[in-house]
Amino acid sequence: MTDDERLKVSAWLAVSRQVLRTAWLAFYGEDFRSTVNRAYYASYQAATAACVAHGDGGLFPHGWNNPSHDQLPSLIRNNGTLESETRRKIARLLRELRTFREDADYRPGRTILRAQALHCVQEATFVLEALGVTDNGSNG
Amino acid sequence: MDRTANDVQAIVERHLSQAKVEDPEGVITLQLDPEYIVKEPYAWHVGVRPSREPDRQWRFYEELAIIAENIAEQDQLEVHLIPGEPLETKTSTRIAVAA
Repeated sequence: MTDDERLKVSAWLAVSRQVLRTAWLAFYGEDFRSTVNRAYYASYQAATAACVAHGDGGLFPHGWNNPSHDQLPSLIRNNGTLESETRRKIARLLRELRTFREDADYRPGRTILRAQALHCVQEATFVLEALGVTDNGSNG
Repeated sequence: MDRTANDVQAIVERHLSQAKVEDPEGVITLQLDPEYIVKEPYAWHVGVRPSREPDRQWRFYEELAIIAENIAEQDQLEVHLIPGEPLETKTSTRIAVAA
């Protein structure tokens, strides 16, 4: 990994940890729509860090620092050092969380229930843990 | 591999025909929305309608994610499945409205 890539990974991880904390705070504050939004983005950012660490940054859309939402599951599924079953699960959870996030952000007519928000923030917590994102700043 | 909208429809429908969502009120089936098949730069976006409103929304979304993963792996096709409106309104809702 180049120094530039190391800096980018570190920045994405820091944002991801902060956003997951915000997701839990929103959940305890009973703001379930924001919980779902933050849960997805914490996962997206952790997965983006993993992609950069794998050297997949060149596959992002031209001129972007991040992958498109559409390409992220396949980047995670097909690359990296985690066991393939874990990568497949993370890819699936990214898809599922994205769908919930789109409900939360674009479909105000759909109610986001407490149980759904809890489900999302727990899944996001799993994604970060599986990608080795910890509170001490390491990335395994 | 370059796929047409018809190819995508056929692939997604094949996977949807094998899928079902277990729900407290019974099994929910899934149907492709032929009016919502859109090619985006990195994936096709395809609308999917459940046979009725799921009680367990998360099971429906989990199933959509599983189907999309299966399509990616088995057919080398990236799709983003977008939940659409249920084909049928809940019976209980209709009774409540009628009352």
